Parts: sequence; C-alpha cells; structure tokens
Amino acid sequence: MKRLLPLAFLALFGAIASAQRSPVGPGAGVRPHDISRNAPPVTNPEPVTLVALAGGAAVAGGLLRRRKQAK
Amino acid sequence: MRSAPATGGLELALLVALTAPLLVEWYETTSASSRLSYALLVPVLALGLAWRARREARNGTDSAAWAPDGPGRALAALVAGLAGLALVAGGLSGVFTLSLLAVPLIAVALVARRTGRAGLRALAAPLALGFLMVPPPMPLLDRINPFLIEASGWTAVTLLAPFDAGATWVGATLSFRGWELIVAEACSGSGTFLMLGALSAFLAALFRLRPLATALLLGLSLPVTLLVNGLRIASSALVIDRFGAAAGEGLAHELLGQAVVIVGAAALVLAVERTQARMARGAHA
Repeated sequence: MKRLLPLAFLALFGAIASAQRSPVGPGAGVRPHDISRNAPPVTNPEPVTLVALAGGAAVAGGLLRRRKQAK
Repeated sequence: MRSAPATGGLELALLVALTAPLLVEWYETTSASSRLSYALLVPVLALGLAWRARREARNGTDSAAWAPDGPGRALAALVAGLAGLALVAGGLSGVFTLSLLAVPLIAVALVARRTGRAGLRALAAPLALGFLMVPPPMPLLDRINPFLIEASGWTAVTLLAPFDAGATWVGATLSFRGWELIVAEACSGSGTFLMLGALSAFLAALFRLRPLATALLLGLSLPVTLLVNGLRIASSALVIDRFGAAAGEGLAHELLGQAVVIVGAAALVLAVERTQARMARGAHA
C-alpha cells in the first residue's frame, strides 16, 4: 500500500500536468449503433512522454535510494 | 603553448558552436510533440548516470585509470570521423535525425579522447543511453504504427472479453456492447513504445543489469506498450459504456488516458527493481 500511494499521486499529478499540455484532439466519434447523431470525440491522445519518463525515472531513483538506505 | 584545460575548453566551445543549431532544432522538434518529448529528458538521465560513474571512480581505487591513452585517441578519431560523416550525410540528404546522430557520437569521441579506455568502459551505459536522444526517423515510425494500432486493438478486445465476448476490432474501430469506438491514430502507442524503450534502457543502466537481462527488458517494452495501450482503449470503452458518450471527452477522459501510461511506466520500474533485487539476493545466497 505504501508503494501504491506514491504511484497513485504520481499518476494523478503527472496526468494533470499532461492533460494541461495536450487537449483532446478531434476523434472520429463514438456512437451507439441505434443513435444517429454527432458523437463526441473518443481519443486517448498520445501521452506526454516526457512526464511519463520523468515519473518512471523518479520512481526508479527513489527505489534505488531506499535500497541503499536499507543497506 | 596552451595548457591542456584551455585547449579542452576551446575544443568544447567549438563543438558546442558546431552542434548548437542542431540542438536548437532538436529542442523545438521534440518539445512540440508530446510523442517525442521524452527525448528531452534522455541527456539529463545520461548525465545523471555519468555523474554516478564519475563519483564511483573517484571514490574507488581506479580513478587514476581515467586518463588519455593510445587506443582511446584512436577510437576518438574514428568516432569523430563517423560524427563528421553523419553531419555531412544528414545535411546533404536533409534527414535531420541523421545529422543529430553526430551529437552522441561527438560525446563518445570526447570521452574516449579524454578518459581513455577505462573511462569509456565506465561511461559506456550513459553514452549508449545518449543515442536515444535521437528520435527514430518518421518513415520508420510510419511503418511501425499500423502494427501497433492492430495489436493494441486486439489487446483491448482481449481485455474486454470478460465484459463482452463479442467485442471486435476492425481497422481502427472497436465494437463493444453496441458501441462503436473509432479510435484515433494517436492511440497507436508509438510514443508509449519509444518512451518505454528509453525508460527500459535507463533502468538497465541504473540497476546495472547484465547484457542478457538488458536485452530482455528492452524486448519487453513492446508487449508492455501493447498492454498499456490496450488498457487505455479498454478502460475508455468501459467508462463510456458505464457513463455515456460524454465520458469519452473532456478532462476526465484525458486524465484516464495519461494516468494509464504513467502508471504503466511506474509499474515497469517496480517490476524491474523487484526482479533485480531477488536476483541479487539469489546470487548472494
């Protein structure tokens, strides 16, 4: 649980930062079969990879530092 | 006759001046694309690893070994020649990534010339990581994208099978419980793939993995990408099915897509760290 909490916070803050930088682009749409209307875009935009890599590197650095302290 | 530090400083200043236009274009290109922005962090990570290697060499007994030697100079001349070729070939062909390849090559040449074989060996991992600052050429990505789109879609269908056994993926359209999700090409996951590849290379260097384990980890970045990307698509489908079409847009949708990738990267780190710790314990036992 102690490990998951930082991950959850990291994901939340990272996602907020990413979301600020990459607004949803126009997708082709999503619609139920039986409704003929213009649908909102459904697109997971390409992630802001800088944030994801920074998050991964930060977690790795933290784990390594903790391992050294444990030794 | 000039002193060695003065000559070294002059040499460095000339190299910076030579590569500055390339670096400016690299910064503008990568910072403008969320898919390639990971490359901005690669030199920072490489420098961090190099700093650790330097500190360990100073604390250890072999710090004196970091000195210029004959083989180092010969290798430096060879790599500097390659860097020059990359600059000329990239300039003539107009392929920016080829020109940019000169930057990490110049770094290798500098290290080889100044620190000799010992320094080159100690700094091999950060120098290798430095090459990942060069984004792959777009024509190559264009060839990989269709495969990633297809494989990501079928991964999403597999993940959604417990909720709808009839879910299908055709082209870029996911059919799920009466919904048709036309998934944008952005979901191909090429950015995630490149980022996870760079992260895997960094982890291998950070945790000092053996070559075989490094190769395995780098190979894993593809299936992990497919899993992460499949999860992004599948989770969007589930959210839309539960909360309606409006849930497929806006900040919450954006947050979900970004968070899945970030958690995927962090989970990969955790898995590598745990595996490496177990292997280290097994080796000591």
